[in-house]
Amino acid sequence: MDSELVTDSLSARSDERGGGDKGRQPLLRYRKTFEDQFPFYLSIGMTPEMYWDGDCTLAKYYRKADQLMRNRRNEELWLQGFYIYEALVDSSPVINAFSKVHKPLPYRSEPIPLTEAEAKKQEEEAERRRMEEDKAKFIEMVNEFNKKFERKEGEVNGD
Amino acid sequence: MAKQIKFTYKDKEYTLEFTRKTVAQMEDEGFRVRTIDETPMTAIPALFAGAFKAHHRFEKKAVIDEIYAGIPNKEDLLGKLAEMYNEPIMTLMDEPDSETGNVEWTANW
Repeated sequence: MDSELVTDSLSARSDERGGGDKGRQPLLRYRKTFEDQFPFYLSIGMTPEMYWDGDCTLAKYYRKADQLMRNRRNEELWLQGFYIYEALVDSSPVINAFSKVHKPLPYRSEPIPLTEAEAKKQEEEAERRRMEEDKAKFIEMVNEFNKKFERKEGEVNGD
Repeated sequence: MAKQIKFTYKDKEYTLEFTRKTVAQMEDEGFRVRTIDETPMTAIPALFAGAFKAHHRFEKKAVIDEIYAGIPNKEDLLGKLAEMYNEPIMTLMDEPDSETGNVEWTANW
């Protein structure tokens, strides 16, 4: 097939066919191509009206959009696989009979940030939570100290 | 945006365009691109008339013929109409990957 020469092509061979179509090229019907491609464009979301009556360049953009959607889907599936993998690793101490630790690691509290802004927001949130915890610990410590101090003061005063 | 030819004739605005349906209709009516070479005198007006189907399908043939007769630069018009006629099929074909070694070509006109 690959070794076919231009001289072997259909139009050149038409001489051999004889009859009245000497030198005629094979008939290419655009309609056939349109009909052959139609189901594909329906499958990627074009309506029949758009395909047949609408702006013909839309097909190009639908194809590109389909490619983008497929890429996005692929990334989503990859991310899902990553979550599953991470969950398996986190729970491996329970699954692994030879593990010294028999408590699973906690599953991540927040989803993996997908954008820099999301990552920054999550970092800020974590920082804020840490500070709240430290503040609560400090207040608790101060209260404890005050209680001890009050108790001691009471003992000194003989109450 | 699909290729279009716009003009005003007798205060009426016209937009010439081909859609997949109008190209298929023209084929059903017997129009073939290769007939432009064989019988240009009938094929070119037929191609011109076909370009009305998308937006002015009820326009009378006599009016279209009148417009065609009055159009200057018919050679340029033919080139543009042929491009427009091919667009519905060309847009179904994938553009080659720009990173692969594409064949470069030039025309001598």
